[in-house]
Parts: sequence; C-alpha cells; structure tokens
Amino acid sequence: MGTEILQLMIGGFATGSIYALIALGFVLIYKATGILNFAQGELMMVGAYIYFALVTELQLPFLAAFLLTLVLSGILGLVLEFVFIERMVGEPVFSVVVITLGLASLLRSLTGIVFGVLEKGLATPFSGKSLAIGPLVIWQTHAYAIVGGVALFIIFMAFFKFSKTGIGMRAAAEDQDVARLMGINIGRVFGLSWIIAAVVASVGGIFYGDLSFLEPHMSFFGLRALPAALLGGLDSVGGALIGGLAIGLIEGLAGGYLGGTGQELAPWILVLVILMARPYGLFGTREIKRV
Amino acid sequence: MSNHRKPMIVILALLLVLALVACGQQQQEAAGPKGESATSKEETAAGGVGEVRGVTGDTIRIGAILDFTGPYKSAGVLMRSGIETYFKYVNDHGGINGRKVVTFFEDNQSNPPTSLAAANKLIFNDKVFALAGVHGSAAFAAIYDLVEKEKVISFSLGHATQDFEPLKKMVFQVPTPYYHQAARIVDFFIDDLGIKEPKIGVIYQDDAMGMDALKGVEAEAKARDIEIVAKEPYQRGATDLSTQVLNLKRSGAEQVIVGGIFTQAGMFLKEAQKVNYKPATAGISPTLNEVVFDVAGEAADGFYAANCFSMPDDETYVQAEEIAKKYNVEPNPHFLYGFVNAAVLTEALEAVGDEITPEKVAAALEKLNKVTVPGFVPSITFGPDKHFATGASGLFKLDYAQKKWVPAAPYKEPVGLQKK
Amino acid sequence: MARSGNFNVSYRQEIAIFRTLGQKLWLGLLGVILLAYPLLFGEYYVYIINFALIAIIAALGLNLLTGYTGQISLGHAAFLAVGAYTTAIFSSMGLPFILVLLLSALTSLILGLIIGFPSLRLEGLYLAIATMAFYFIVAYVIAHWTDMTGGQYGLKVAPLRVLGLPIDSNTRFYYLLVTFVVASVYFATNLARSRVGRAFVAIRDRDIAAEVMGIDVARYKLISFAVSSAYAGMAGSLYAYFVGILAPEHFGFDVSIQYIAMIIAGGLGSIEGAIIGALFISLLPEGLRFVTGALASSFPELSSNFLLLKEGVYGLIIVLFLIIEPTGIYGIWRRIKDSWDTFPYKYRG
Repeated sequence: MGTEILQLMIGGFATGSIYALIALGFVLIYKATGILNFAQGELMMVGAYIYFALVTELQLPFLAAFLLTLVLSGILGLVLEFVFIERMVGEPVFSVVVITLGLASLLRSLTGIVFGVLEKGLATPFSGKSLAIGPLVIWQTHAYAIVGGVALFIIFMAFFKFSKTGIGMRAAAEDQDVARLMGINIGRVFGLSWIIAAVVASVGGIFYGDLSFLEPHMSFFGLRALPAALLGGLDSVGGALIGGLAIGLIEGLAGGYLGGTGQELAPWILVLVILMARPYGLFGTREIKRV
Repeated sequence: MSNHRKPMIVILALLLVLALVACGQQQQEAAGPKGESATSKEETAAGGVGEVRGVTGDTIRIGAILDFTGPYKSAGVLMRSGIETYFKYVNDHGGINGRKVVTFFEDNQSNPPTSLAAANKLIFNDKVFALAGVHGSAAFAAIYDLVEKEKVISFSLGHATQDFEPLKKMVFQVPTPYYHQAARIVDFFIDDLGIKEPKIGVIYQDDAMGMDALKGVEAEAKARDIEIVAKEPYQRGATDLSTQVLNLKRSGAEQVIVGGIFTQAGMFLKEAQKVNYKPATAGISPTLNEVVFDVAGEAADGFYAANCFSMPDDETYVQAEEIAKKYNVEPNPHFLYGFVNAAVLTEALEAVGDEITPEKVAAALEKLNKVTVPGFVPSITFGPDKHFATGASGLFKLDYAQKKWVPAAPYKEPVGLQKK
Repeated sequence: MARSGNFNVSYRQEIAIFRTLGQKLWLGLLGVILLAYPLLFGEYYVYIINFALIAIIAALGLNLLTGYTGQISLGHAAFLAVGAYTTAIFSSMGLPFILVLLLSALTSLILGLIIGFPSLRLEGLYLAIATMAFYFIVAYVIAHWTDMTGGQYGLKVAPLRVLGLPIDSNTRFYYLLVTFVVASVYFATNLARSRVGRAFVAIRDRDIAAEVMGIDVARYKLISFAVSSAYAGMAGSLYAYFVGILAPEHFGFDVSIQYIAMIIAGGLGSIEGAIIGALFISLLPEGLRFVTGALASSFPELSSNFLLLKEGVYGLIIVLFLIIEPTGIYGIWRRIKDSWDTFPYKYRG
C-alpha cells in the first residue's frame, strides 16, 4: 500500500511540475504588467504545435527543434504583446484581461484550422520511456519536467532578485507611471515578460504533449495551472513552483482517493478557499489600497 | 401617478394582446377541426408538390449531423464520406424509385446545443426528409423531441441504449448497442479466452456511453455470476489516467474493459505499461481506431476491441469495398457507420415505393427481418417495439508488428443477456 | 420649425423615458417590426432570433454587473445553468410557468449573492478568478450530480403552457420571449437611471470615492450581483423551456466568453449596448455561414471548419472592439447620430 501512495504522489508531483511551468508564465506576466494572461494555456499549446511542425515537417533533430521552438515561441509572445497588449498600456485592467480571453479563442481557432483538429502524437527522444526508482516508476519526461522546471525557476528567481532588468520589471508591476518616470522602458518590460512567459509555456507544452497528445483544446490544461499560480501568490516566482507541485499533488491524491473525477473539482474549491482566506496567496505580496 | 410611464405600459399591453391574438390564431390553425390547414401550410413551406417535407417528384433530401471539429472529429469526416458514397452509388443507379438523393451535412461537435441548432437548420431551412445519422449520444438526445414532433426519421450513429429505450417512433439504431458490446466482452474473456474466474475491472468515460458499457458489464457479470473488482470513471477528454490505472492495479483486476474511446484506451495502455500492469484489455467499438497506435505505441499490442461492422476479408466488407472503390474511397470502420445507415435507410425507402411518408418509412423499417447490408456483419431485424438492429458483436486483436487488427472472436449475441 | 435641441419645460419631461415624438415614432415602428417578424421570415429564422432574444435578457444582466458596476464575471454561464436546471426540476413537478420562472430567478439570485460576498473583498482580477472557479464548480456539480441533474444523460423540461395555452412552436415562443425582453429592457432602463444605477456607475469609476460620497459600496455591489444573476436565471429558465432538454454542454465556459463578447461588441455600460451586442453575437454565426457558403467553392475547408471559425471570430471581435472601438457598436451609432445632428458643426454647442 505504501508504494501506491508514493506512486500517486510522484505522479502528482510530475503533473505539478508542468503546472508549475505554466503557472510561472501567469506569474511573470502578472508581475511585470499587472494583468492576468488568460491565453497562457494557448501559448503552451501553440508552443507544442510549433515543436510538432519542426519535427514532422522539417525533420529537425530533437535539440535543434527544441531550441528553435523556444525562439519562435518567444517571437510569438513578443508579437502578441506588441500588436495587442502594448497599445493597451494605461487602459483599465478589465480591458486587457478580456483581450487575453479573446486572444485565447483566436489562437485555439487558428491552430485548429492550420494544424487540423485531429489528435497528434508528439515524439521526443524520451517519449514512452520510463524510469524506475526502487519500486516506483515514472516517465522520463516527468523527470525532465521536474529537473527542467526547477532549473528554470532558479534562473528566474535570480533574475528578478539581482538583474537590473528584473528589478525594473518588478518596479513596473508596482506602479507603471512611477516606473516610467524613473526611466524604465515600460514597453520593453512588457515585451520581455511576454517573451519569457511564451518560452516557459512552450517548454511545458512540449512536456505535456509528450505525455498525452496534441489537440487545440489541450490549452484548457493551462487554465488548470491558474489555481497553482494563485495558491503560490500571483506575484511570487517561487510560489508558482510550490503552488504547481501542491496542486499536482492534491489532484493526484484526490483522484486516487475520491475517485477518478474528483481531481477536476479539488483545485477550484481550493481557489475559492484561497481567495476568501488569503487572496494574495501563500507567498504573494499583500496589497494595500490607497485612494 | 407618473405620466411618463404611460407610453411604455401602453406598448407593453399592446404587445401582450397582439401576442396572445397571434398565438390564438396559430392554435386555431394547428388544432382546427379539419387539422389540415396546418399540414397544407407545411407542405407549401416544404416547396414540394403537395407532398411531405423533403420529398419532391424527383428528389429526396436527406441530412446528417456529424462531428467535424469536436472530440470525435476524426470519425465525422469519414462518416460523411460513407453517407455520401452510398447515396452517390444509389443516385448513379437510378436513385430511390427514380428519386435522386440530395445530402445535407451539419457539424455538431458532438455537443447537444449545437446539435439542436443543426437539426433546426436541417429540418426548417434545408427541409430534409430524414437524418441518415446523428453523432453523439447526448447530442442525439437533445433532438429526440424535435424529430418526433416534426416526424423526421433519424438514424443513430452511435450505440447508446437511450436511442431505443424508451422507444421513439422515428428513431432507429443500426450499430450494436454499447450495452450489448460490453456484455459480449465479458463473454469473450470467459468463453473465447477461456478464463474461468475472471477478475474484471472497468474503466469508463463518465457519460452516457461509459455508463451504458458499465451497465452491460454489470448485467452480464450478474447473469454469469462473475465478480467486478473495480469501476473507475474518467472525465470525457481526460488527458491523464494515471490515478485510474493505479486504482485498477491496486484492485487486482486481471481483465480490464474500456468503456470509452480510442484516445483514452491508448492512454490507459501506455500508462499501464509504465507501472508494469499487464491486464488483458478490451474496449467497446469506439476504441477500434488507429489512434490507439499513435497514443500508446508498442503498449497497444494485444489490445482487443469489439466491433459490429465488417473488417477486411469479410464477405460483407468486400461488397462495401466494391461500391466504395468506384468512388475512390476506402471503407474503414467509421466510413461504414455512415455507409451502413444510408444502406438501411435506402432499403426501407425502396420498400415503401412512390408514396413516401415518414410513417410509412418507419413501418417499412420495422418490417426489416434478418436483412444483410454491405459493410455490416450481423443481420438486421427491427420490430414495432425493437428499434435497434442487433445485439451481436465480434472481437479484434491489435497486432502492433503488422499495425493491423486481426479477428479474435466471432460475431455473437451476449449469452447472459439472452437468457433473461 | 427645426429646434436646435430638446428643451424640457418640466421636471416630468426631463425624466420621461421617451422624450421626443421621433423616439416614440421609431419605437412604434420597432414594435410593428417585432410583431410582424415571424410573418416575414421562415421558421428557421424565428428559431434563430429566439436564441438572440434569450441572449438579450442574459446580456442585460451581465452588462448591469460588468458594464455598469465594473465587476468582471466569468461565471455568467453558471447562473444561466442554475436557472435552467432549476426550471427543469420544478417544471417536472408540475408547477405553473410563472412560479417556475420566479423560482429559477430566485435560485440564481441567491447564488449570485453568495458569489457576490467575496466580491466585497476581491477586486478586478481576483474577482474574475473567483467567478471562474465558481463556474467550474457549478459545471462539475451539474455534470456529476446525476440524480438531480441527469448528468450527461440530460434532463427533460416539461412542455411550456402559459395561461393554458401550450407554447410549442417557434412562433409562440417568439411572442412570449418578446414580451419578456420588453419587460426586462424596461426594468433595466429604469434601474440604470435610478439612484441604484448611478451608484453602480460610481462604484465602477472609483469605489473608494463612491464610499466617501456616502454610497454603501457593499450593498450596491451585492444588489448588482443579485440583479445580474436574477436576469441570468430568468434567461436560463426561458432557455430551458425553449430547448426542452438540458445537458452540461449547453453551459460551457465558452458561453461565459460569448456573453462578454456581447457586452463588449454592443457597448459596455448601456442598455442599448447589451441589446445590440446580444443580437450581433447571436446572429453572427448566420452571417458567417453565409460568407463561408459563398467562399465554399474556393476555400472548401472553411465550411468544414465552421464552428472553429466561429470561435475565432468571437475572439477577434473581443480583441478588435476593445482595441479599436471600446464603446462598441452602440458607441459608433451614437457618434454617427451626433455628427448627423450637429452637421455641419463638429461638436454640440
């Protein structure tokens, strides 16, 4: 019995590491621009499809395709930000958030039309290979997702803490006008946050696509990373990691003990509880409102 | 009191009165003593020559509601091709008693509200006489009332029990119900694989399809005194079955029945292989699809799936292939869903003769007895209180090396259900 | 003799809803068109417009909450669902229509109040997330509480009778729905221009300032949630009667997005905006069908991807309107009207 619980937990952590990557995207954009990007799941999906196209159409080897996916996703993030978000600086948060909802529908629809709506298998060198740790078995993809995820997190935490650009992004999130007066290029900060969010999302997308399959509605998986971001605190990079892992774990255990579909419900109930008790999350900054 | 409200109240009252008058008039028309005025209005609306909706002197309009962009999208395009191909063949051979078939298709994403919109469009805008196929169990359920009220003969493209229970005058189902398929799989483990004391686990989609399969397993298991050790639901479109697989493994199930579709069957196999769990696995007919290879890879080897349509090498398959070849298409399971429905509908329409009405076609369908059509192995028998064609299905085994399905057990009715 | 504007000579004139003869004439014309519609168009188009009429009622509710009070709700589909399922459950007990309708609106209203309470603490984004979580919980309950909701099997709604008259055709539904739409518009118009409506707008524009001015922000936020969800519950109830059988898919997350698209495309914070937006978004698929049909010969893949295309166009409408024309179609119309009124001058004097 003990190994089964461990197996459930490991499975949960592995899914959680992908949630964490997507949650990181939510957090980065929120941190820098103060909005919530509802198209985060779609960025993940498009990233996975880009990788798929590079591997199947251009026959690129894994590493080349992977790196090129990161570059192309980054460009996509930048273009979306430049065309749709940049001109909304200073507009009400509501408008910008709803624009990302619109973008989400648009990206899903375009992907379906371009790539077709049929499920597609996505292959990486570690597809379908498993890894035994004692009595436990996990997918190699999960192992890479955990390792890659943690590495990305360390990089970004350092980035926000120490680099000038990172500090600038934090300042921009705090108060756009003041940051601008202090000489921070708001446009650049916005662009950068979208680039990074798209890149981490595409990494999550490739891992996720490898574990299941590609189809335009896989983006809804991304929506389920939102509770993770919220649990950790919408503006906490480290919180995204812990939130992601925690939500993965809760889903795994809920699925194991409440039955197959309990995992769909648990994160959303958690969201309401968090919002009532501690809207700024476990590690987020508490905002004080001034007139 | 306040003068300014007057115009609004007047308008409101006016609207109400007019609405009631208009409704009243309509009612008179509909329920008038002769009862003919409404019908004659319908006829002129149908643009026919004093006949029923969708039927003219030289054409008959037939529609279908399929999934082109929803969860079963891979099937929809092929079903459409099956319906089109058969009716093209009919038209090239003089049509149905001289009438050419004109087809209309709508996308429903297997989704109830979209189906309702699609059915309204087909019935009121395109004015079809019959629906040669409606895809999705819940999607079909959303339009039962409409097709019954408007008297549109409708064929299911699925296997749901609710299509024929309770009986609906205009609704018919050719493919073997999931209920009977799942029961047949229980028999397959006992009789064909020779497992005396099976420990059966069920993993099923938590919708009408999965529940039908689960109930079929339960009924047959009860009739044959077999134990079901685990029942694991998953949500439609689920992308992670790891907890379900672990729970099944924990329960000690040695045979697993998949009440779901190919994607999740593939995921189950892949996930089970990961945790080194190797039960004999068999799925209902929606799992009989090449996508299982793509999703599961080599873990798909040895998977069984139930089927009621013809597979290559069968006599009925060759007949279907001969027709399909003329139009440069290849019959495969989903193609045959559409193809067979079109063939059965044509059979009944031809039997009715010149004076086509929905009631007559329904009666002709109910008279079909042990009829075989190309593309479908079991013989088709409807009756006044039996609107599903057959309870028989066969099993096929997935051979990963050859990438094909090979016959594993013959087409038979489930033993336990017949006893009752 | 042309007037250079509408001058009111009494207070009563100023607060009248219809202030000019022109308004009354246009409204009369609209009434005639509304009544004649089913006679002019085929049954299919009556069916289509019926959905649009139901959408108008729900969009009015969302616009009061989001457009007037500034509270983002991604959970509108959940309130519709609650109204619809309440109707299905009570109608099968044989309760009369009006009572069922009121009960449905009331159930939605109570849930609206419950979800409104967190809104007292939550702002903008967090409220959006809370309403989204609420939506997913409601959707899960509907899909899984099979005994009550029928789950994936669907739930039948008893046939509708009003005052003994069976409402069983698209045309009869049309007249019933028109009556409800007129009543809903009337109520919303009056609410919006009353003390309550002005409080809503004050909260939207700056809630702390509103509080300072003596507006009980908590109370009015809750009123806004209650009214909005009651509207949605009523629309859901009518929807349930109209479609006859309910399934969880009727109330997907995309429904919430569609309603947001409606109030944005029509115009946030105006009654006319909600009406225009609901009509526009509901009739859009027909327009799209026409276009893809015309292009079918050169781009055959368009029509088979029709539903995908529809989703994309909803997204595009949201994005384009917010970026280019945040005041929506109604805003455009008002600008055109103003420049016509003031021609040849550019601005009102």
